[in-house]
Amino acid sequence: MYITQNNRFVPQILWFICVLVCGWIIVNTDYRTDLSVFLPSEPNKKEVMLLEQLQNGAANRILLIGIEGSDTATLAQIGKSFVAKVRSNPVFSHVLNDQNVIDPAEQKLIYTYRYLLSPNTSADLFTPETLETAISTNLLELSFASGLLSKSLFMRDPTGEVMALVDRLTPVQGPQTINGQWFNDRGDRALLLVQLASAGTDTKAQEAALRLMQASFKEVVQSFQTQSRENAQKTENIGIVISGPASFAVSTQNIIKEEASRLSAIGLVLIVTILFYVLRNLKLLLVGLLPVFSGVVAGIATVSLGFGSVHAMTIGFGITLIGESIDYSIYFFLQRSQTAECAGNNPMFWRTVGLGVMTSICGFSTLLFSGFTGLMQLAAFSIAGLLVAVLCTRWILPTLLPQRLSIHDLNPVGVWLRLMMEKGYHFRYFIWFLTVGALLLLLSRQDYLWSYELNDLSPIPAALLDLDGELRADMGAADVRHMLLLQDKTEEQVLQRCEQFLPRLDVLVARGLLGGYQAPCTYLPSQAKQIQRQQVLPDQERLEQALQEATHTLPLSVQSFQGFVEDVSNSKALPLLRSDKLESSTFGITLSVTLYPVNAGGNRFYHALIQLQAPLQNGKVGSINHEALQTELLDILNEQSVLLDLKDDFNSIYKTYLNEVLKYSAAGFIAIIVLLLLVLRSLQTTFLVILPLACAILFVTALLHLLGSQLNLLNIIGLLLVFAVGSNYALFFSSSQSNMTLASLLLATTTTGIGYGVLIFSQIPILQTIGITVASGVFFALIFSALMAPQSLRKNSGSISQS
Amino acid sequence: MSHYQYWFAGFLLLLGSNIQAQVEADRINLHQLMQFMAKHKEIHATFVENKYIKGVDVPLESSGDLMFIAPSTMVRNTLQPKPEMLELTGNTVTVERMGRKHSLQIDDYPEISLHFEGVRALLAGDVERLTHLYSVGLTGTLVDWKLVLNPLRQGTALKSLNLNGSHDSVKSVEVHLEDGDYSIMQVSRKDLNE
Repeated sequence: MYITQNNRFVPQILWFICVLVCGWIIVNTDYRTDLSVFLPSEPNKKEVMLLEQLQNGAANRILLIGIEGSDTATLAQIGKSFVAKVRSNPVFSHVLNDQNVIDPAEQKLIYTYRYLLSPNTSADLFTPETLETAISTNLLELSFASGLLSKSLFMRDPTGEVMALVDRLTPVQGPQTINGQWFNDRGDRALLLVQLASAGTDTKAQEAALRLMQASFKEVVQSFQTQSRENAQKTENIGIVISGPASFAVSTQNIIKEEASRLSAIGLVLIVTILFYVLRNLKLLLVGLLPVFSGVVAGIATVSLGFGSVHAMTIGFGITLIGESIDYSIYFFLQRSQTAECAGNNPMFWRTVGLGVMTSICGFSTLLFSGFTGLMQLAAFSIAGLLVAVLCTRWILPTLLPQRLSIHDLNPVGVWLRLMMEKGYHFRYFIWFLTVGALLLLLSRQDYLWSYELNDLSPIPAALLDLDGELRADMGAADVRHMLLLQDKTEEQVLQRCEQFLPRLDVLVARGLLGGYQAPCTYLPSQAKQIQRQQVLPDQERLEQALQEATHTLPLSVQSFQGFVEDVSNSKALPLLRSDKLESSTFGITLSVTLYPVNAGGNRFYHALIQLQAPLQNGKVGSINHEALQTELLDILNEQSVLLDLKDDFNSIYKTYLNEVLKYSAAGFIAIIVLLLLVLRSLQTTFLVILPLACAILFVTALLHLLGSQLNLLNIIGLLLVFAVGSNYALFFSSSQSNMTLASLLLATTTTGIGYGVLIFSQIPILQTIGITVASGVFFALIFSALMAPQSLRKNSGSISQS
Repeated sequence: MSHYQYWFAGFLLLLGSNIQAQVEADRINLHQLMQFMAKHKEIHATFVENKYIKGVDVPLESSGDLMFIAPSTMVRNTLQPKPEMLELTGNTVTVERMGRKHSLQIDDYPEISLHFEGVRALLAGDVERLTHLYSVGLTGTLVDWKLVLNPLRQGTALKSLNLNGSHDSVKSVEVHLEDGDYSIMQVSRKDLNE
């Protein structure tokens, strides 16, 4: 008795210490959410820059807001009060709702720095001939309605630099303004643009900012409603919609949380009901979860130790992949039931389970050599998780449970299953038929099978993306897809790099290849450029002389331009324009989005983004010809100046990734066959184990295709799991098993099916994909394994026990 | 001096006072003028404007079309020498020139709005708006009235808007600035036959 007790406690204590150690590691682990795991471990320069842009770009901080559900006048009023309420809050760096014209602060900035900002500033601008042409042209503009008001500007700026800069620095299109508030075209949605002060990666700060906005909106509406009954009626249905990366992050997180709790509650209730019916014991249920729990803990700890950090995706997908470990408990419990034919440590049972685990590990292990951090982490997680789960089932569960469990007698289910197998044996021809059909379908449609769109992996619900598209269209802010991304060591250097491109881009705009562009160096020229411009400005005497000649034939005297002469000589000695001068203005938003520091690997450098706009074709926004631009700019593009097509470039990274996954999964498949051949030492038995799985996977793939979904990375992960789970079924069926084991297989399939099946009802596309793939996959894997099991092996003892 | 001469002088005097009386009878008041104006639904006209700016030796001439649609839309479409379209609707001014459109809120630019609001308030027959923004001086008769609008707001560059007209038609608009620069716009209606 003493020895038994001792034997019982040793593994338990060991296990407990291991969990504690793993727990300590997990707590101290660095969790990452960046997309770098999608990259090969030796990415090219362009790929790295692309990701840095994604993580550091200030565009992450921008939110589009719509207020809707009332008449235009009320919406305008609420919109303006809302802006007044939130504008002063330091959480927001900018809140805009009617910025069509440059505000006085910006006017002053443009006016003061016009000769340092203007690309027209050159020695040539101040020759008598140029001045004469410019003055006579701009004189005509005094005939405009506002001529009397603009005359003093004309006298100080006869070459029209201020107006040219205003046109250059303000966006061409914007939303319409009604009563001092931006509106969409129909006038039923008031629009606002907000920039958050916190960094794009600080989800907590973003969530707080979003909550603050919702609360402020509510207060504004309430105080409006209390003014009169009429007001209350008008704003009955008023609401606010918010879109943007920060909003996506927060709402997606919330939806996942809410769905995870709702769907997993439904799944859990169903699974627990079934298991409780079978196990008749709450303690058993909890003990049954131990292997999964230990597996997850060990998986995270292993990845943390091996890679230094754990990616959130690894945990999510990893838990999916080691989902089969819940089956181990079920197999084990049913083995131990009092009604099982052979109770206790059934060596054949453990052998089969062990082989099942080995095949799974073998399948995943090839991913370890893929060179993609994400895949390597996933493989390490699954392997460690499965090993620990099976060890826990083998060595810990027996110590926690009595030798004989009093659970529901499932022998009748097993008998029934056996009967169905007998009856369904002839249906295996039907399976052949289905499989051949599926194979033909997949072969004929192989070009359309895979989706290489990274967006398909996006966890953002479609409804949110639609809203974002709508708000962007309302705002006239197209999603920027084409851009030039420049990188250099200092702000000054990257601005100089940017300036190199401007004359070339102007040519492309003139030729109609581009609609326009937005570059940081138009708002903030490099110091070198500004000094160069200052140097070409003429001194007072020379300018006066040139004006004398220029005005000779004009109805104007030199004296009229005294202000101009003063301004030019002031500009010559003006302190240079620096980025902090721009910060407080709305130009600051544009600048922060297009010029930002990047910290990577201890180095600090700067990015400049030149956003390219598509040209107009027949009055509509056309498309940008990426190849043509690449050719045109070829001589000035290099490793640190790249032309990006965000959509295509991300998709091509993803495509490489997906192809790698496919390649290594195939390698894993081959490794599994080799393993089975080595262990089973029989070509025929190996074939019989693999065949139903291959058929099931082909069939499910064809089914997914027929359902209209293109396959993506998640389908592959799902199919890997199906293979891992299914290999257990196939192994059990290929050897002769007790009725109780057969029943446990059905029970395992049912719980797995329910667990993943509830995900089909998720709003999150990626959860749905996993749900459909795994639920249908395990179901067909079981049926095919059962029906295709060799008749000769059904009653006699199987080849496994023989070998 | 003969009696005849006295009589004649007396007759002249009488005649004069009679004419004076006649003129008194024709003298227009703001209330009447605005009532006429309030009947407008739509006005279409052409204009020729000359701007006199210190430092520019010749007047700057421009011409184009004008349009008013009750209650609050006014359009100035300059065709010569450079095209520009300016539209004032409600509180929004939209300016379109060289293919670019800008719009701004007149409340944000009270200085600019004073140049246009007087004419619009007059054409719309909006006494309240007119007297809210300007001190109003009306002289002349129904067939030849003169309206002088001095902004009530202090410190603006605008000294006065002087409008001349006959019946419900504005014939000319003069804009005078404090610095002595001014413009004169001659207006001819295109729709008088309506």
